[in-house]
Amino acid sequence: MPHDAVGNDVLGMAECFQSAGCPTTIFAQWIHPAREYCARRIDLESKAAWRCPEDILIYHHALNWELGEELLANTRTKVVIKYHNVTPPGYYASYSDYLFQACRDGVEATGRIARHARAWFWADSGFSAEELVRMGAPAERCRVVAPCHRIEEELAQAPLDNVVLGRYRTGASILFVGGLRPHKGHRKAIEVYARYCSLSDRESRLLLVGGSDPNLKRYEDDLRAHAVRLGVDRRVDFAMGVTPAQLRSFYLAASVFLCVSEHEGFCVPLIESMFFRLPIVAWATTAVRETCAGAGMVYEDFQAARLAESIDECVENAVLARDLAERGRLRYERLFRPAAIRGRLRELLAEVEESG
Amino acid sequence: MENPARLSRGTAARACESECGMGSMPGSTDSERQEAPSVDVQAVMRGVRLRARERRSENAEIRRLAEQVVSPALALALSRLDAHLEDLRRSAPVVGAPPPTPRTLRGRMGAVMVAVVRRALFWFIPPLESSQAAMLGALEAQYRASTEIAAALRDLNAKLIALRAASASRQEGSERSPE
Repeated sequence: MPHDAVGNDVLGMAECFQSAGCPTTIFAQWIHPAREYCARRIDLESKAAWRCPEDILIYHHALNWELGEELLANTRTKVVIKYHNVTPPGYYASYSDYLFQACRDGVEATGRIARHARAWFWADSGFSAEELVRMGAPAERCRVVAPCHRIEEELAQAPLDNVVLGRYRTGASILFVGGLRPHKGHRKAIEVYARYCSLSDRESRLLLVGGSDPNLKRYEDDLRAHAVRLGVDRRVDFAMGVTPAQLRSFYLAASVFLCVSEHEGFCVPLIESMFFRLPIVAWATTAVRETCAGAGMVYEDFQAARLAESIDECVENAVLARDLAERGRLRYERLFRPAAIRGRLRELLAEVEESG
Repeated sequence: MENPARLSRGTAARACESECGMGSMPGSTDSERQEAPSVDVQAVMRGVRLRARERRSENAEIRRLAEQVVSPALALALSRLDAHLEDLRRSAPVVGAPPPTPRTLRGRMGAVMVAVVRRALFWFIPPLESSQAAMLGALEAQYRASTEIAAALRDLNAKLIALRAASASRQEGSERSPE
Protein backbone atom coordinates (compact mmCIF):
# COMPACT_ATOMS: atom_id res chain seq x y z
CA MET A 1 0.00 0.00 0.00
CA PRO A 2 1.24 3.53 -0.65
CA HIS A 3 2.23 5.75 2.32
CA ASP A 4 2.49 2.68 4.52
CA ALA A 5 5.69 2.10 6.51
CA VAL A 6 5.93 -1.61 5.65
CA GLY A 7 5.09 -0.96 2.00
CA ASN A 8 7.75 1.74 1.81
CA ASP A 9 10.30 -0.63 3.30
CA VAL A 10 9.45 -3.34 0.75
CA LEU A 11 9.73 -0.85 -2.10
CA GLY A 12 12.90 0.72 -0.77
CA MET A 13 14.60 -2.64 -0.34
CA ALA A 14 13.65 -3.71 -3.85
CA GLU A 15 15.04 -0.49 -5.30
CA CYS A 16 18.23 -0.85 -3.25
CA PHE A 17 18.94 -4.39 -4.35
CA GLN A 18 17.90 -3.74 -7.92
CA SER A 19 20.28 -0.80 -8.15
CA ALA A 20 23.05 -3.00 -6.72
CA GLY A 21 22.64 -5.36 -9.65
CA CYS A 22 20.53 -7.95 -7.85
CA PRO A 23 17.35 -8.85 -9.83
CA THR A 24 14.47 -8.33 -7.41
CA THR A 25 10.77 -9.10 -7.59
CA ILE A 26 8.08 -8.08 -5.11
CA PHE A 27 5.42 -10.73 -4.52
CA ALA A 28 2.21 -10.13 -2.60
CA GLN A 29 -1.18 -11.70 -2.11
CA TRP A 30 -3.07 -8.40 -2.27
CA ILE A 31 -1.69 -5.48 -4.23
CA HIS A 32 -2.97 -1.89 -4.04
CA PRO A 33 -3.78 -0.53 -7.52
CA ALA A 34 -1.16 2.20 -7.07
CA ARG A 35 1.51 -0.45 -6.63
CA GLU A 36 0.50 -2.89 -9.33
CA TYR A 37 3.29 -1.58 -11.50
CA CYS A 38 5.97 -2.99 -9.23
CA ALA A 39 4.53 -6.14 -7.63
CA ARG A 40 3.31 -9.57 -8.73
CA ARG A 41 0.67 -11.80 -7.24
CA ILE A 42 2.03 -14.84 -5.52
CA ASP A 43 1.58 -18.01 -7.52
CA LEU A 44 2.44 -20.95 -5.29
CA GLU A 45 1.63 -23.41 -8.05
CA SER A 46 4.40 -22.31 -10.37
CA LYS A 47 6.97 -22.78 -7.58
CA ALA A 48 9.68 -21.48 -9.89
CA ALA A 49 10.36 -18.53 -7.62
CA TRP A 50 10.86 -20.72 -4.57
CA ARG A 51 13.10 -23.46 -5.90
CA CYS A 52 16.55 -22.05 -6.37
CA PRO A 53 18.74 -22.37 -3.25
CA GLU A 54 20.87 -19.42 -4.36
CA ASP A 55 17.89 -17.06 -4.34
CA ILE A 56 16.95 -15.09 -1.24
CA LEU A 57 13.39 -14.76 -0.01
CA ILE A 58 12.88 -11.67 2.14
CA TYR A 59 9.66 -12.11 4.08
CA HIS A 60 8.21 -8.95 5.59
CA HIS A 61 6.34 -9.92 8.73
CA ALA A 62 3.87 -7.58 10.44
CA LEU A 63 0.67 -9.69 10.66
CA ASN A 64 -0.50 -13.27 10.62
CA TRP A 65 -0.38 -14.48 7.02
CA GLU A 66 -1.20 -18.12 6.34
CA LEU A 67 -0.13 -18.11 2.72
CA GLY A 68 3.13 -16.47 3.70
CA GLU A 69 3.89 -19.13 6.30
CA GLU A 70 3.09 -21.83 3.76
CA LEU A 71 5.62 -20.17 1.50
CA LEU A 72 8.23 -20.09 4.22
CA ALA A 73 7.68 -23.75 4.98
CA ASN A 74 8.08 -24.84 1.35
CA THR A 75 10.71 -22.51 -0.03
CA ARG A 76 14.14 -23.87 -0.89
CA THR A 77 15.70 -20.43 -1.09
CA LYS A 78 17.70 -18.68 1.60
CA VAL A 79 15.34 -16.86 3.92
CA VAL A 80 15.40 -13.47 5.56
CA ILE A 81 12.59 -12.42 7.87
CA LYS A 82 12.19 -8.65 8.04
CA TYR A 83 10.34 -8.06 11.29
CA HIS A 84 8.21 -4.94 11.58
CA ASN A 85 6.81 -5.76 15.02
CA VAL A 86 3.26 -6.76 15.90
CA THR A 87 1.25 -4.61 18.30
CA PRO A 88 0.42 -6.46 21.52
CA PRO A 89 -3.26 -7.42 21.24
CA GLY A 90 -4.17 -6.08 24.69
CA TYR A 91 -4.34 -2.54 23.34
CA TYR A 92 -7.31 -3.48 21.20
CA ALA A 93 -9.20 -5.52 23.79
CA SER A 94 -11.58 -2.69 24.67
CA TYR A 95 -12.05 -1.43 21.14
CA SER A 96 -12.16 -4.10 18.47
CA ASP A 97 -12.50 -7.87 18.71
CA TYR A 98 -11.41 -8.13 15.11
CA LEU A 99 -8.16 -6.22 15.60
CA PHE A 100 -7.54 -7.90 18.95
CA GLN A 101 -7.74 -11.27 17.24
CA ALA A 102 -5.63 -10.11 14.30
CA CYS A 103 -2.87 -8.94 16.65
CA ARG A 104 -3.07 -12.08 18.73
CA ASP A 105 -2.75 -14.19 15.59
CA GLY A 106 0.13 -11.96 14.51
CA VAL A 107 1.99 -12.47 17.77
CA GLU A 108 1.50 -16.24 17.55
CA ALA A 109 2.75 -16.15 13.98
CA THR A 110 5.85 -14.28 15.15
CA GLY A 111 6.54 -17.08 17.60
CA ARG A 112 6.37 -19.66 14.81
CA ILE A 113 8.40 -17.61 12.35
CA ALA A 114 11.10 -16.82 14.92
CA ARG A 115 11.85 -20.53 15.12
CA HIS A 116 12.43 -20.90 11.38
CA ALA A 117 15.36 -23.24 11.08
CA ARG A 118 17.63 -21.42 8.66
CA ALA A 119 16.35 -17.85 8.45
CA TRP A 120 18.20 -14.62 9.03
CA PHE A 121 16.27 -12.02 10.94
CA TRP A 122 16.41 -8.32 10.15
CA ALA A 123 14.54 -6.17 12.65
CA ASP A 124 13.62 -2.49 12.38
CA SER A 125 15.14 -1.82 15.78
CA GLY A 126 17.14 -3.37 18.59
CA PHE A 127 13.91 -3.50 20.58
CA SER A 128 12.26 -5.63 17.88
CA ALA A 129 15.39 -7.78 17.54
CA GLU A 130 15.33 -8.53 21.28
CA GLU A 131 11.69 -9.49 20.98
CA LEU A 132 12.52 -11.96 18.20
CA VAL A 133 15.29 -13.52 20.27
CA ARG A 134 12.91 -13.91 23.22
CA MET A 135 10.54 -15.72 20.89
CA GLY A 136 13.18 -18.17 19.80
CA ALA A 137 15.19 -16.59 16.99
CA PRO A 138 18.92 -17.25 17.23
CA ALA A 139 20.65 -14.08 18.41
CA GLU A 140 23.65 -14.70 16.14
CA ARG A 141 21.39 -14.46 13.07
CA CYS A 142 19.56 -11.30 14.16
CA ARG A 143 20.49 -7.96 12.68
CA VAL A 144 19.12 -4.46 12.99
CA VAL A 145 18.46 -2.20 10.01
CA ALA A 146 16.21 0.84 9.93
CA PRO A 147 13.29 0.59 7.53
CA CYS A 148 13.51 2.25 4.13
CA HIS A 149 11.36 5.32 3.79
CA ARG A 150 10.33 7.82 1.15
CA ILE A 151 10.79 11.01 3.10
CA GLU A 152 13.13 12.60 0.58
CA GLU A 153 11.54 11.20 -2.59
CA GLU A 154 7.91 11.85 -1.74
CA LEU A 155 7.29 13.79 1.45
CA ALA A 156 9.93 16.47 1.01
CA GLN A 157 8.95 16.92 -2.66
CA ALA A 158 5.24 17.34 -1.99
CA PRO A 159 3.89 20.84 -2.60
CA LEU A 160 2.98 23.00 0.40
CA ASP A 161 -0.59 23.17 1.63
CA ASN A 162 -1.29 26.83 2.34
CA VAL A 163 -4.41 26.08 4.34
CA VAL A 164 -2.44 24.00 6.84
CA LEU A 165 0.45 26.44 6.94
CA GLY A 166 -1.84 29.42 7.35
CA ARG A 167 -3.79 27.82 10.16
CA TYR A 168 -0.93 26.44 12.24
CA ARG A 169 2.11 28.58 11.60
CA THR A 170 1.25 31.09 14.31
CA GLY A 171 1.14 30.23 17.97
CA ALA A 172 2.48 26.91 19.21
CA SER A 173 1.47 23.78 17.33
CA ILE A 174 2.28 20.49 19.00
CA LEU A 175 2.27 17.69 16.49
CA PHE A 176 1.92 13.93 16.70
CA VAL A 177 1.80 11.80 13.56
CA GLY A 178 0.55 8.25 13.84
CA GLY A 179 -2.47 6.14 12.95
CA LEU A 180 -5.41 6.52 15.32
CA ARG A 181 -4.66 3.32 17.24
CA PRO A 182 -4.78 2.66 20.98
CA HIS A 183 -1.07 1.91 21.36
CA LYS A 184 -0.05 5.27 19.87
CA GLY A 185 -0.65 7.14 23.12
CA HIS A 186 -3.09 9.79 21.87
CA ARG A 187 -4.80 9.83 25.24
CA LYS A 188 -1.53 10.60 26.97
CA ALA A 189 -0.72 13.22 24.33
CA ILE A 190 -3.99 14.99 25.12
CA GLU A 191 -3.17 14.83 28.81
CA VAL A 192 0.29 16.33 28.23
CA TYR A 193 -1.22 19.03 26.08
CA ALA A 194 -3.81 19.88 28.74
CA ARG A 195 -0.94 20.29 31.23
CA TYR A 196 0.89 22.50 28.77
CA CYS A 197 -2.22 24.69 28.38
CA SER A 198 -2.40 25.10 32.15
CA LEU A 199 1.16 26.43 32.37
CA SER A 200 1.37 28.53 29.22
CA ASP A 201 -0.82 31.42 28.07
CA ARG A 202 0.43 31.08 24.51
CA GLU A 203 -2.13 30.33 21.83
CA SER A 204 -1.58 26.69 20.91
CA ARG A 205 -3.06 23.60 19.32
CA LEU A 206 -2.47 19.87 19.50
CA LEU A 207 -2.44 18.29 16.06
CA LEU A 208 -3.15 14.57 15.90
CA VAL A 209 -2.38 13.56 12.33
CA GLY A 210 -2.69 10.09 10.88
CA GLY A 211 -4.93 7.46 9.36
CA SER A 212 -8.16 6.28 10.94
CA ASP A 213 -9.65 2.80 11.03
CA PRO A 214 -13.42 2.20 10.87
CA ASN A 215 -12.95 -0.62 13.41
CA LEU A 216 -11.70 1.92 15.95
CA LYS A 217 -14.51 4.50 15.94
CA ARG A 218 -14.93 3.97 19.70
CA TYR A 219 -11.30 4.81 20.29
CA GLU A 220 -11.69 8.08 18.41
CA ASP A 221 -14.85 8.88 20.38
CA ASP A 222 -13.04 8.13 23.64
CA LEU A 223 -10.24 10.50 22.69
CA ARG A 224 -12.65 13.30 21.89
CA ALA A 225 -14.47 12.71 25.18
CA HIS A 226 -11.13 12.77 27.01
CA ALA A 227 -10.28 16.11 25.40
CA VAL A 228 -13.67 17.47 26.50
CA ARG A 229 -13.10 16.24 30.06
CA LEU A 230 -9.74 18.00 30.19
CA GLY A 231 -11.19 21.17 28.70
CA VAL A 232 -9.01 21.21 25.57
CA ASP A 233 -11.43 19.85 22.98
CA ARG A 234 -11.54 23.12 21.05
CA ARG A 235 -7.74 23.12 20.75
CA VAL A 236 -7.19 19.52 19.70
CA ASP A 237 -7.40 18.93 15.95
CA PHE A 238 -7.75 15.50 14.45
CA ALA A 239 -6.47 15.35 10.88
CA MET A 240 -7.16 11.96 9.36
CA GLY A 241 -6.14 10.66 5.95
CA VAL A 242 -3.91 13.61 5.06
CA THR A 243 -2.15 13.97 1.73
CA PRO A 244 1.66 14.15 1.50
CA ALA A 245 1.33 17.91 0.87
CA GLN A 246 -0.67 18.36 4.05
CA LEU A 247 1.68 16.15 6.04
CA ARG A 248 4.73 18.08 4.87
CA SER A 249 2.99 21.32 5.77
CA PHE A 250 2.11 20.01 9.24
CA TYR A 251 5.77 19.24 9.87
CA LEU A 252 6.84 22.67 8.67
CA ALA A 253 4.19 24.54 10.64
CA ALA A 254 4.59 22.70 13.94
CA SER A 255 6.72 23.91 16.86
CA VAL A 256 7.33 20.59 18.56
CA PHE A 257 6.83 16.89 17.84
CA LEU A 258 5.37 15.10 20.83
CA CYS A 259 5.65 11.31 20.97
CA VAL A 260 4.12 9.45 23.90
CA SER A 261 3.36 6.31 21.96
CA GLU A 262 3.22 3.24 24.20
CA HIS A 263 4.46 0.76 21.64
CA GLU A 264 6.59 1.30 18.54
CA GLY A 265 8.71 -1.01 16.45
CA PHE A 266 10.64 1.94 15.03
CA CYS A 267 8.46 5.07 14.64
CA VAL A 268 9.01 6.58 11.19
CA PRO A 269 7.38 9.91 12.16
CA LEU A 270 10.31 10.50 14.54
CA ILE A 271 12.79 10.45 11.68
CA GLU A 272 10.40 12.55 9.59
CA SER A 273 10.53 15.12 12.41
CA MET A 274 14.32 14.92 12.42
CA PHE A 275 14.41 15.50 8.68
CA PHE A 276 12.13 18.51 8.95
CA ARG A 277 14.16 19.89 11.88
CA LEU A 278 11.28 19.69 14.31
CA PRO A 279 12.33 19.51 17.99
CA ILE A 280 11.21 16.27 19.61
CA VAL A 281 9.80 15.74 23.09
CA ALA A 282 9.20 12.07 23.77
CA TRP A 283 8.60 9.28 26.24
CA ALA A 284 11.29 6.63 25.80
CA THR A 285 9.17 3.52 25.41
CA THR A 286 9.98 0.47 23.28
CA ALA A 287 11.86 1.51 20.13
CA VAL A 288 11.32 5.26 20.62
CA ARG A 289 14.34 5.36 22.92
CA GLU A 290 16.79 4.12 20.33
CA THR A 291 15.24 5.89 17.34
CA CYS A 292 15.53 9.22 19.15
CA ALA A 293 18.65 8.64 21.25
CA GLY A 294 19.86 12.14 22.04
CA ALA A 295 17.98 13.86 19.24
CA GLY A 296 15.31 15.30 21.50
CA MET A 297 14.15 15.75 25.06
CA VAL A 298 13.42 12.12 25.83
CA TYR A 299 12.34 10.88 29.26
CA GLU A 300 12.40 7.34 30.59
CA ASP A 301 9.14 7.56 32.51
CA PHE A 302 5.86 9.19 31.60
CA GLN A 303 5.05 12.30 33.57
CA ALA A 304 2.65 14.65 31.83
CA ALA A 305 3.89 17.66 33.79
CA ARG A 306 7.50 17.07 32.81
CA LEU A 307 6.68 16.59 29.14
CA ALA A 308 4.50 19.70 29.21
CA GLU A 309 7.35 21.73 30.72
CA SER A 310 9.65 20.43 27.99
CA ILE A 311 7.21 21.53 25.31
CA ASP A 312 7.11 24.94 26.94
CA GLU A 313 10.91 25.06 26.90
CA CYS A 314 11.03 24.21 23.21
CA VAL A 315 8.41 26.81 22.35
CA GLU A 316 9.81 29.64 24.47
CA ASN A 317 13.54 28.98 24.10
CA ALA A 318 14.46 29.54 20.46
CA VAL A 319 18.10 28.58 20.99
CA LEU A 320 17.15 25.26 22.56
CA ALA A 321 14.61 24.55 19.82
CA ARG A 322 17.17 25.29 17.13
CA ASP A 323 19.74 23.09 18.82
CA LEU A 324 17.34 20.17 19.13
CA ALA A 325 16.26 20.65 15.52
CA GLU A 326 19.86 20.47 14.34
CA ARG A 327 20.64 17.44 16.51
CA GLY A 328 17.70 15.69 14.97
CA ARG A 329 18.70 16.56 11.44
CA LEU A 330 22.28 15.45 12.06
CA ARG A 331 21.05 12.15 13.49
CA TYR A 332 18.89 11.69 10.42
CA GLU A 333 21.82 12.43 8.10
CA ARG A 334 24.07 10.06 9.99
CA LEU A 335 21.79 7.06 10.41
CA PHE A 336 18.57 7.37 8.51
CA ARG A 337 19.18 9.00 5.17
CA PRO A 338 18.40 6.60 2.30
CA ALA A 339 22.04 6.11 1.33
CA ALA A 340 22.94 5.07 4.88
CA ILE A 341 20.10 2.56 5.10
CA ARG A 342 20.87 1.18 1.66
CA GLY A 343 24.52 0.74 2.56
CA ARG A 344 23.50 -1.26 5.59
CA LEU A 345 21.08 -3.36 3.56
CA ARG A 346 23.79 -4.22 1.04
CA GLU A 347 26.10 -5.31 3.86
CA LEU A 348 23.42 -7.56 5.30
CA LEU A 349 22.53 -8.99 1.92
CA ALA A 350 26.17 -9.85 1.27
CA GLU A 351 26.27 -11.62 4.63
CA VAL A 352 23.23 -13.72 3.70
CA GLU A 353 24.62 -14.49 0.25
CA GLU A 354 27.86 -15.75 1.73
CA SER A 355 26.14 -17.84 4.34
CA GLY A 356 25.39 -21.55 3.86
CA MET B 1 4.19 35.25 15.81
CA GLU B 2 6.46 32.90 13.89
CA ASN B 3 7.25 29.64 15.60
CA PRO B 4 10.68 30.19 17.14
CA ALA B 5 11.77 26.62 16.34
CA ARG B 6 11.49 27.10 12.59
CA LEU B 7 13.44 30.37 12.22
CA SER B 8 16.64 28.66 11.16
CA ARG B 9 15.15 26.37 8.54
CA GLY B 10 17.32 27.80 5.80
CA THR B 11 20.67 27.56 7.59
CA ALA B 12 23.19 24.83 6.90
CA ALA B 13 23.36 21.96 9.36
CA ARG B 14 26.01 22.09 12.05
CA ALA B 15 28.49 19.24 12.28
CA CYS B 16 27.66 16.23 14.38
CA GLU B 17 28.36 16.52 18.08
CA SER B 18 29.14 13.72 20.47
CA GLU B 19 26.04 12.21 22.06
CA CYS B 20 25.52 9.23 24.26
CA GLY B 21 23.24 6.50 22.94
CA MET B 22 23.65 7.29 19.24
CA GLY B 23 24.81 4.69 16.82
CA SER B 24 22.70 1.81 18.08
CA MET B 25 21.35 1.59 14.54
CA PRO B 26 24.14 0.78 12.14
CA GLY B 27 23.57 2.40 8.80
CA SER B 28 26.12 5.13 8.35
CA THR B 29 29.45 5.15 6.67
CA ASP B 30 30.18 8.88 7.15
CA SER B 31 32.86 10.08 9.51
CA GLU B 32 31.78 12.66 12.05
CA ARG B 33 33.18 16.05 12.89
CA GLN B 34 32.96 16.69 16.60
CA GLU B 35 31.92 20.09 17.90
CA ALA B 36 30.66 21.16 21.28
CA PRO B 37 26.85 21.50 21.41
CA SER B 38 25.61 25.03 21.97
CA VAL B 39 22.91 24.01 24.44
CA ASP B 40 23.31 21.55 27.27
CA VAL B 41 20.09 19.64 26.70
CA GLN B 42 20.65 17.42 29.74
CA ALA B 43 20.89 20.52 31.95
CA VAL B 44 17.66 21.85 30.44
CA MET B 45 15.99 18.50 31.13
CA ARG B 46 17.25 18.59 34.75
CA GLY B 47 15.69 22.04 35.12
CA VAL B 48 12.44 20.74 33.65
CA ARG B 49 12.39 17.83 36.12
CA LEU B 50 12.95 20.22 39.02
CA ARG B 51 10.21 22.61 37.95
CA ALA B 52 7.79 19.75 37.30
CA ARG B 53 8.54 18.40 40.80
CA GLU B 54 7.88 21.81 42.35
CA ARG B 55 4.65 22.21 40.45
CA ARG B 56 3.65 18.70 41.46
CA SER B 57 4.03 19.47 45.15
CA GLU B 58 2.13 22.75 44.68
CA ASN B 59 -0.61 20.86 42.86
CA ALA B 60 -0.65 18.13 45.50
CA GLU B 61 -1.24 20.77 48.17
CA ILE B 62 -4.00 22.34 46.09
CA ARG B 63 -5.57 18.93 45.52
CA ARG B 64 -5.45 18.22 49.23
CA LEU B 65 -7.28 21.47 49.95
CA ALA B 66 -9.73 20.75 47.12
CA GLU B 67 -10.49 17.32 48.60
CA GLN B 68 -11.33 18.92 51.94
CA VAL B 69 -13.80 21.26 50.30
CA VAL B 70 -15.68 18.45 48.53
CA SER B 71 -18.03 16.94 51.10
CA PRO B 72 -16.71 13.76 52.79
CA ALA B 73 -20.35 12.62 52.83
CA LEU B 74 -20.25 12.55 49.00
CA ALA B 75 -17.15 10.35 48.99
CA LEU B 76 -18.78 8.04 51.53
CA ALA B 77 -21.99 7.85 49.52
CA LEU B 78 -20.05 6.92 46.38
CA SER B 79 -18.14 4.27 48.23
CA ARG B 80 -21.39 2.75 49.57
CA LEU B 81 -22.90 2.84 46.10
CA ASP B 82 -19.90 0.93 44.79
CA ALA B 83 -20.33 -1.69 47.51
CA HIS B 84 -24.06 -2.07 46.70
CA LEU B 85 -23.22 -2.46 43.03
CA GLU B 86 -20.73 -5.18 43.89
CA ASP B 87 -23.45 -7.03 45.85
CA LEU B 88 -25.84 -6.67 42.92
CA ARG B 89 -23.26 -7.99 40.49
CA ARG B 90 -22.77 -11.04 42.65
CA SER B 91 -26.47 -11.70 43.26
CA ALA B 92 -27.87 -11.01 39.75
CA PRO B 93 -26.73 -14.28 38.17
CA VAL B 94 -28.32 -16.26 41.03
CA VAL B 95 -31.90 -15.19 40.15
CA GLY B 96 -33.60 -18.01 38.29
CA ALA B 97 -30.55 -20.25 38.50
CA PRO B 98 -31.13 -23.76 39.82
CA PRO B 99 -29.99 -24.21 43.46
CA PRO B 100 -27.12 -26.59 44.35
CA THR B 101 -28.26 -30.24 44.20
CA PRO B 102 -27.07 -32.69 46.88
CA ARG B 103 -26.17 -36.17 45.62
CA THR B 104 -29.17 -37.86 47.22
CA LEU B 105 -32.36 -39.31 45.77
CA ARG B 106 -34.35 -36.49 47.36
CA GLY B 107 -31.88 -33.97 45.92
CA ARG B 108 -32.18 -35.42 42.41
CA MET B 109 -36.02 -35.51 42.61
CA GLY B 110 -35.93 -31.89 43.81
CA ALA B 111 -33.70 -30.90 40.87
CA VAL B 112 -36.20 -32.46 38.46
CA MET B 113 -39.06 -30.49 40.05
CA VAL B 114 -37.04 -27.27 39.92
CA ALA B 115 -36.31 -27.90 36.23
CA VAL B 116 -40.03 -28.47 35.55
CA VAL B 117 -40.97 -25.26 37.39
CA ARG B 118 -38.23 -23.33 35.52
CA ARG B 119 -39.58 -24.63 32.22
CA ALA B 120 -43.09 -23.59 33.26
CA LEU B 121 -41.84 -20.08 34.05
CA PHE B 122 -40.38 -19.57 30.57
CA TRP B 123 -42.50 -16.38 30.29
CA PHE B 124 -41.22 -14.97 33.56
CA ILE B 125 -37.57 -15.79 34.20
CA PRO B 126 -35.88 -14.48 31.00
CA PRO B 127 -37.62 -11.04 31.13
CA LEU B 128 -36.77 -10.85 34.83
CA GLU B 129 -33.10 -11.61 34.10
CA SER B 130 -32.87 -9.05 31.31
CA SER B 131 -34.67 -6.45 33.40
CA GLN B 132 -32.19 -7.02 36.22
CA ALA B 133 -29.27 -6.75 33.81
CA ALA B 134 -30.72 -3.48 32.50
CA MET B 135 -31.13 -2.12 36.03
CA LEU B 136 -27.61 -3.12 36.94
CA GLY B 137 -26.33 -1.43 33.76
CA ALA B 138 -28.26 1.73 34.60
CA LEU B 139 -26.92 1.80 38.16
CA GLU B 140 -23.37 1.29 36.96
CA ALA B 141 -23.79 4.13 34.46
CA GLN B 142 -25.12 6.31 37.26
CA TYR B 143 -22.17 5.40 39.46
CA ARG B 144 -19.72 6.29 36.69
CA ALA B 145 -21.49 9.59 36.09
CA SER B 146 -21.44 10.37 39.82
CA THR B 147 -17.72 9.67 40.15
CA GLU B 148 -17.04 11.88 37.13
CA ILE B 149 -19.11 14.67 38.65
CA ALA B 150 -17.22 14.31 41.93
CA ALA B 151 -13.90 14.41 40.04
CA ALA B 152 -15.02 17.49 38.08
CA LEU B 153 -16.03 19.14 41.35
CA ARG B 154 -12.61 18.46 42.84
CA ASP B 155 -10.91 19.84 39.72
CA LEU B 156 -13.06 22.95 39.82
CA ASN B 157 -12.23 23.50 43.46
CA ALA B 158 -8.54 22.95 42.74
CA LYS B 159 -8.67 25.61 40.02
CA LEU B 160 -10.52 28.00 42.30
CA ILE B 161 -7.91 27.54 45.02
CA ALA B 162 -5.09 28.05 42.50
CA LEU B 163 -6.75 31.20 41.14
CA ARG B 164 -7.28 32.60 44.64
CA ALA B 165 -3.65 31.89 45.48
CA ALA B 166 -2.45 33.56 42.25
CA SER B 167 -4.70 36.56 42.84
CA ALA B 168 -3.52 36.88 46.43
CA SER B 169 0.14 36.79 45.44
CA ARG B 170 -0.44 39.39 42.69
CA GLN B 171 -2.18 41.62 45.19
CA GLU B 172 0.72 41.15 47.59
CA GLY B 173 3.15 42.02 44.83
CA SER B 174 1.29 45.21 43.89
CA GLU B 175 1.02 46.27 47.55
CA ARG B 176 4.78 45.91 47.99
CA SER B 177 5.59 48.01 44.91
CA PRO B 178 2.76 50.44 44.37
CA GLU B 179 4.65 52.20 41.55
